[in-house]
Amino acid sequence: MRNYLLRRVLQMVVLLVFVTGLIYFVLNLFPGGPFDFLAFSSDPRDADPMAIQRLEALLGIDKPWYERYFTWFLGVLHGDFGTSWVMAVGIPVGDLLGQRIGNTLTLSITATVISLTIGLAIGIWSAVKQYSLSDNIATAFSFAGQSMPTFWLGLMLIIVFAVRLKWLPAGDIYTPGKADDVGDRVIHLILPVAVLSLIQIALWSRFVRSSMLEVLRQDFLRTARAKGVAERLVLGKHALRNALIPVITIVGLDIPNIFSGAVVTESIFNWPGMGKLYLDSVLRHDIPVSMGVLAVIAFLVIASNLLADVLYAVVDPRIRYD
Amino acid sequence: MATADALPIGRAAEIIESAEIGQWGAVWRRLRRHRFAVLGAVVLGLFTAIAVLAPVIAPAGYDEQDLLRRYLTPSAQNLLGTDDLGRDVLTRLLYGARISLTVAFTATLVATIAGAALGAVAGYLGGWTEVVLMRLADIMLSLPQLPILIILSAALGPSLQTIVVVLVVFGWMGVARLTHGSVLALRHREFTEAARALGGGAVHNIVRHMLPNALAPIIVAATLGLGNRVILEATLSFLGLGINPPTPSWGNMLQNAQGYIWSEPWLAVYPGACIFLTVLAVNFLGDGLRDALDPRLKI
Repeated sequence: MRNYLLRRVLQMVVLLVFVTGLIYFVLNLFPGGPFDFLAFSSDPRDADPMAIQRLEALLGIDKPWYERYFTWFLGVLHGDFGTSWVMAVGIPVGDLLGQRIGNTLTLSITATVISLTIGLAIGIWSAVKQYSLSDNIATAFSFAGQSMPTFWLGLMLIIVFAVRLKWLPAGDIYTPGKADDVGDRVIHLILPVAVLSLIQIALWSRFVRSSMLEVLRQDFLRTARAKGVAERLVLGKHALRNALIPVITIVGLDIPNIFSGAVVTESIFNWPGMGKLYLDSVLRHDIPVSMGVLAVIAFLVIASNLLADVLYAVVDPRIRYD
Repeated sequence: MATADALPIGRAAEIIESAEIGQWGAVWRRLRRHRFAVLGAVVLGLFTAIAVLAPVIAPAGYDEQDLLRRYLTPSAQNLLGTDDLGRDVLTRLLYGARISLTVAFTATLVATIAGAALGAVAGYLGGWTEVVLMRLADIMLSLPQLPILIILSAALGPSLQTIVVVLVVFGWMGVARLTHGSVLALRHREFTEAARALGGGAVHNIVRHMLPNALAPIIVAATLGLGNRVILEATLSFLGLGINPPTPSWGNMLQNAQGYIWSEPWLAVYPGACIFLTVLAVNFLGDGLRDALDPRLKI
């Protein structure tokens, strides 16, 4: 086990280096730099190409991309993600990330917990009552959810619950002036969490259903029933425990989806999280900020994959790690 | 549970039947029995026809403005009303289908061919080729898809070409993995050995003996990928990183509608409904194809 863990963590580090390197390379494709606007300045002293070159040398962005990547990576190891070029000039990217990451985690963890709970419930129910009316409704719901673009679902919920019914706020994280009101924050959380959860429930309930169906067919369940174990225990203990093993993997693999969803959801609901920070930084070519967000997301994604794999090995004694 | 030596009569009849009508005939028969798949195929066909015929059937030009006739409710002249610039919403939806489906179909076709080719080559040749290609696929699959597509589109400059390129570059890995897996299972089978012994070269063996046997999962993955790409194109366009206005795409129509959500909320309903229906149709078709091609498939 220790060797397995060690090897997986090492793999993760190598993967992170590759992935961030790839992203750094892609960002290098952006035309222009942070001082491009100077070329259009009315002051001839600003537009001097020599001055721009000097400024770029000062930031170190006149060097080839792999050299800059190396510098950036060393910085990140010390917790330094560089400074913003456009959105908050001179502010460390690490500070920007720190302000936003809490909001994103609130959103995505709430959504994950809710999706898991409801997805498990629907999936188990559908499997036990296969081909019943409720199973068919769940199937229809799942197909609909998987075919639904996140942003449209968000817009429709805003139209129904904010524009028409006026029950819920259309966006933001709290009503201005009510920053410390927990109830107010919860109300603002409802719609974005609903958008993220509905789509995730559609996927996970389907997966739990098929995983559960597979287990329900096994002989050991018949044995348990033959021994006289109560049906509730047969399903809840013998079946569910085994059905959950593959679910761990799929949840781990789906964490990136939740972050992808957060980019869209945050921008629709004007939610000041990393997703919105990312989109704004991309649209305004604030490359250090984009790079910082992507690095954090890549880290979270790779770490959650690793966690899922390790959990899988811990939960399922049939898996051998060598 | 039926065992191999005791086939149920229906299944045995099916096998005899498929011997007469051929493999694809049998697939077609099974697909036809899947009602939702047929419905999906019909709806997808309908949207494709609309996309192709848009210039013929559209009542107006897609960027024909009439600032005196803005925000009109549905009428005989504008069946779905007009938008903020007085453009006919129905016309823009029809042209939007053209863009959305062109992007999704092109990207899916190229990504699937590239993925199948790379996966087959990796599986057939093995060695370093396999290690490099499959590790690359793993790395790219471990990246969060949407954020990467966003940054690539922005870096290359949003346009129709960019979005297709980006969807292809980050869309080949799934099919490559599937093909790789199938080819690995086929590589050491007797018929492959035979083909090699008879002097068949790598290209011949891959095209003639590997790919036909790996086709079923590829077709299903491509179909489901098509729906996914309709959503991705719409999402990128919605975020302002896909198709640029005034060319209408369902995604950028929604982006535009978002600005009028308080005053003209119905503008946001139609384009999204089109995306939803198209993707739902594709997913039904994909589900039916999976059952029809090979009921054992699990993708």
